Amino acid sequence: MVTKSRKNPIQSRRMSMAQKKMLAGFLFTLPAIIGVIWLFLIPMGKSLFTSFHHVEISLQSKSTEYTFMGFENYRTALARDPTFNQTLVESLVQMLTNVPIIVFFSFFAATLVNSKFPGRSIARFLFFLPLVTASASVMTLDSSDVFQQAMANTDFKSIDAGGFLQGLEVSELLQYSGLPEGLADFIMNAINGVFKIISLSGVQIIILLAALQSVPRSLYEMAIVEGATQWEIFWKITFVLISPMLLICLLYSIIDSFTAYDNMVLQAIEYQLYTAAGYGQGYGLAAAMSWIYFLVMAILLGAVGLIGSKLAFYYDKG
Amino acid sequence: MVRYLLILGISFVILYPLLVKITVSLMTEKDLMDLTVKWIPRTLTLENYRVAIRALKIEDSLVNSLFYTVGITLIQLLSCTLAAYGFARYRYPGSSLILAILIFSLAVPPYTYSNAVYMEFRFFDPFGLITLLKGSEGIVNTMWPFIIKAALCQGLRNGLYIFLMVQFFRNLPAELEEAANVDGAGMVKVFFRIICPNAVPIIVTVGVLSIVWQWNDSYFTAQLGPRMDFLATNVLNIQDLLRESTGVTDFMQQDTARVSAAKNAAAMVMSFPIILFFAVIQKFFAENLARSGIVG
Repeated sequence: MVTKSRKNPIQSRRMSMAQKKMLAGFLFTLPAIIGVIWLFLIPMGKSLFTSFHHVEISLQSKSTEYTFMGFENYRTALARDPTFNQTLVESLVQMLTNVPIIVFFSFFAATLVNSKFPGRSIARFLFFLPLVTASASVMTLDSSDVFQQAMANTDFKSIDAGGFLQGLEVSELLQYSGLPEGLADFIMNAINGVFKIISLSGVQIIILLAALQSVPRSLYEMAIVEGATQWEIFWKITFVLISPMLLICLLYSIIDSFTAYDNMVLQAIEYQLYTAAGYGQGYGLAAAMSWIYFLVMAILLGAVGLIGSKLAFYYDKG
Repeated sequence: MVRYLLILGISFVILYPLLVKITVSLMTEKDLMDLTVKWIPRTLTLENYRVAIRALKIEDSLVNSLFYTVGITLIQLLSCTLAAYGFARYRYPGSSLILAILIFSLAVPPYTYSNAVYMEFRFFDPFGLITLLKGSEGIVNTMWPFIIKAALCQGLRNGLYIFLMVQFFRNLPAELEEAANVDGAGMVKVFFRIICPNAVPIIVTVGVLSIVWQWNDSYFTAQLGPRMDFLATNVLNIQDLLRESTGVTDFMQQDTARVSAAKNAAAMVMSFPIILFFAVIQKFFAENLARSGIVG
């Protein structure tokens, strides 16, 4: 690829076009390269290193002692710690159930907002609102605010029994209407779940909306002329053409749920880091836990990515 | 018709918590304790906001949060656009690998490497300069860690931004740059005169996302600036801050009426500006989203 002209001594001193381009690319991306190496790869390496050691930081002598432990930390995390395995599995299951729902709902929401209708701006604004107000701070406040819940339920009873629809006394309504308690409970949980799903769908709606808008109108018109049914149009045109973005949406949702602020595994790791016995002693174990978690996610992402890219349909990328 | 019903239903679910917060934050303690008052307070009061604003140390936290949001966004936009353009257009050995790592870094849980990053900044002392300037090493608790991270494309969600931008640049016809080259423009001129104006859609999209996420971020702000005041971290710690700023003992309890009202007011103080911003920018954002060509 690197061609240096040997014919003309003057020319051989100047760089060829190809070389210039490579240098330009390198310069353009230099900050990113420095960032990735200094602030990502090296810290990752250190964390991996820590995970194989038992760390003891003594504040008096300001020294950190590393004792090599091999896979001891990993063994502790997986075999001896009472909750880590469980938390890991729970978090995975929760993610596997939530992600398809989120993607499906985002697609549904994006479709709703796609075509022009009066009030479209307002609808779009409202759909994006959860994304805009989703901050760990505010959400933590919400969950610890007894009064928000109490306000909704004027009887002050069963404050923990049901999330945000209490004020409308929906659960009583459902029970009075003769539904068995289990079913009423299920419906209540589903409705509460809707809120959670919506608040996790922000970026996905954006992605899918962009995808939907990129499907050329002419395709739809042609299909209608050819006599295709709505069902066929959806599956053969819409679904196929946005499939790459659906995959991205899926991957993004998986990542999002793995790195969410209230993820149980992350909280367990945080606990190890800050509150486990002895200052700094939890570091090794915490690092090992992080890496286990990370590997699980990497495998999952890899699997989904590989399968997805085989199934997704790509335009000829030019 | 069905469409409207669905939208109405979903909107209700979205708006409900917000409405609750607004209502509670405007109520007096009497109204909160009064069981017959549910949605419309008998007396409107701004007292809760006054308490919350004082506890949040608004002079410091607002300034810091504004800089953290707008300033850092601008820095990130510049560095990510430069990098993405380089990755998309100019291939060199290893560029695909680095791009892959950058995007992949989005998937790594922050805890895995954030401690090491903190250590880097805590003991940051290139050539002894920092000790010279400050008297002790480390640049934690200043804006510098954030600035450095943003300038090096290692800010919050930068992997996502770079990914979106690379997609965009790949879809940009190369003829534009080639035409500019024929006319004698060097790489830098091409970038600023041709690429940037054409990249407005993706810059706006990424910019808005970045502003929203930076404003709401309480993880990195708390970690790299534990003693600084940011709106997000102060809202997170509102309980302790309330206790400090008022010295009143009944704030010790979690669920007194006034605490709840103040907390809701604080949440509103933090949410309101960003909601306003988004309401104003919404149409512009959506238009640019459609043209951002991140698909295909």
